[in-house]
Amino acid sequence: MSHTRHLLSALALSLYATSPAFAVTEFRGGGFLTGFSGCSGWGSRESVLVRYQPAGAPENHATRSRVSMFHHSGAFNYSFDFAPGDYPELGEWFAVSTTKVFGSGYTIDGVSLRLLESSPVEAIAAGATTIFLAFEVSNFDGLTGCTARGRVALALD
Amino acid sequence: MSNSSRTRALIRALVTVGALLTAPVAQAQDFRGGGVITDFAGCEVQGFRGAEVVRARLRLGSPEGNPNTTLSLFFPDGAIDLTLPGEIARGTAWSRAWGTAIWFGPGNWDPRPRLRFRQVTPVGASTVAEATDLLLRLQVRGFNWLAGCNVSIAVALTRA
Repeated sequence: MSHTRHLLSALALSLYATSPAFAVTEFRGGGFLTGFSGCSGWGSRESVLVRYQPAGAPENHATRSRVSMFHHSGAFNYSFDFAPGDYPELGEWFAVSTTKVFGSGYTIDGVSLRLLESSPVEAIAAGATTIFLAFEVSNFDGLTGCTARGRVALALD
Repeated sequence: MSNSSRTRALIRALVTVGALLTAPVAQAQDFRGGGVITDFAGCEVQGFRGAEVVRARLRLGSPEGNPNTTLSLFFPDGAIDLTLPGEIARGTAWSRAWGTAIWFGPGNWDPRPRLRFRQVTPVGASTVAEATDLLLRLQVRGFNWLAGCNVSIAVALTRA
């Protein structure tokens, strides 16, 4: 069974039911990154703010999801292509396109993400619009071998 | 002092130092992270809407020190502090808290807000006091001086 696939499919369905017409569907919130390993220049933890536009939701791209993560002095944008119902399993790595704006803007190669937990699954399936996500980043900031984990709390805007 | 007295004093000192070194060290009870304020109801006069993103800090109350728990929320243009009596735990009962904000200037919320935790999820341990991460959802009545303004807050925090 694809836990993540079911979760995100349910999420997409709940968004169709709750989003106003003609508005981009976006979750906003914040959380943290921590557990930096092999990440020269990154400290023990970072508070982050997040914007997330899930693919397939009303007025969003059919397959392209976008996540922007704002640090104190810069930002990353991660995007990836999965149709609703076709997301990777929990714990499964997937490549993301990454753009970094820290003083200047440029793309970074080799970054991967994976979702570790998402809750409350049942509540989302029932139409909840506030979610917690746990994730891990590989080659964070384009640093080969650098990993970090994070959690965010997001609500439908 | 005799040699035996010195020896006894030395042993007492070593035992005391040993006890101090082996005693459990209280973990820092500060957490940092961020989240979102949402479900604004009755807050239109203050312009709040949608999902307001915030960075967050949490200091757990301690029996040895200040027993109150403090949750601070940071906007780009202001800050809010909610001080909660006692420990945090999921429940349905509303508790009277204290609210403080800095917008143009500092001030204490009057009337005082009431709040309740709808989710308290410690990660990495079974208790809040020992958790590495905390996932919290709470509801606040009387947000930011407005008696009829109710909001929900969700934050993801990690031990600082």
